[in-house]
Amino acid sequence: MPFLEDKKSGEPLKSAIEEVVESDYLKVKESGQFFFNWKEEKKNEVYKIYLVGRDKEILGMMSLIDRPDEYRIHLNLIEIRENQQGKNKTIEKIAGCLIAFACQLAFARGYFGFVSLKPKSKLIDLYQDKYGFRQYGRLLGVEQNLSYALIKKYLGDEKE
Amino acid sequence: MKKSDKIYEELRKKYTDEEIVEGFVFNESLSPSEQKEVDEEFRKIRLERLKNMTDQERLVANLLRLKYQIKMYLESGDYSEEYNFSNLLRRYIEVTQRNNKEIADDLSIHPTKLSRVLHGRENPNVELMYRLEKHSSEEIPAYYWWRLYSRELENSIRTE
Repeated sequence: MPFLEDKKSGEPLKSAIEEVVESDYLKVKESGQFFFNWKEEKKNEVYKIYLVGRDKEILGMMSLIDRPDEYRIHLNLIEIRENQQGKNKTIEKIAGCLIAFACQLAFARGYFGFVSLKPKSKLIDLYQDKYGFRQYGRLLGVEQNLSYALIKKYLGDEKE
Repeated sequence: MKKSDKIYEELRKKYTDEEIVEGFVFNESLSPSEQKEVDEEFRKIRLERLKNMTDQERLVANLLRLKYQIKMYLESGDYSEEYNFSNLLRRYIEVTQRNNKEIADDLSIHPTKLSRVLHGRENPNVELMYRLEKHSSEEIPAYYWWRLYSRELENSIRTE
């Protein structure tokens, strides 16, 4: 289960990540909270994250491309809703939970936990610092222990 | 101007680079020739890395693969015969690269008992589940095994 946190109290918030359904694209568009056109991602695997037991308001979206030929999952797009961005946010770790979920899928599919992204050059250092990504040519990636560490940090450990 | 530069400039009007990294992942736009070069470079690095993985890395990754497949199955709420206790125990033995005799020794159970569990002729007990947890260095918790078995039982009660 994703380990979202209330920014003010630090309390954990019960949340879930699921594959989107058709009606979610309209919901996202009509919310006016998302900058990207998520309908363009329909050809990929798209997931949403939301708080359990509330109104299922979508907090963030993630589009993945499966690359079995290279044993990896590519993070094509992640976006957190506007009122949970920057100084406005009341919930922490939303993007981290989505990335960790992609890592979990990458282990389950036999890709050794490999997840890649291709960020703007200017942001590379920040993704490396924030999530522990390493450089693989022009792409960034996490795998094995680093990927597992992200899962433990953001999705929790079953022993807890 | 590249599409990713436009997106970045738009986001920069509202957010710092750190906030962009916490709220977004989007691809750098590349020309077809640049993209080809990046893809080729990455593929070479990735395939080289896969070739040079140690046996220990593969073993750990395969154990995590099994763990997250079980986790996702349990979260799905569905029933699949593929995830019956005996089938998963068989897969666990394969992942650990031990034969039945060796795994029976490791778990301190008689090989005949292990064989009976693997063939569904004897029900697994909680003690075996704890021993499996310990054997996996606590990566696959005892309650995963218990939940696999209880889902199987539930299905059996429902259908018989």
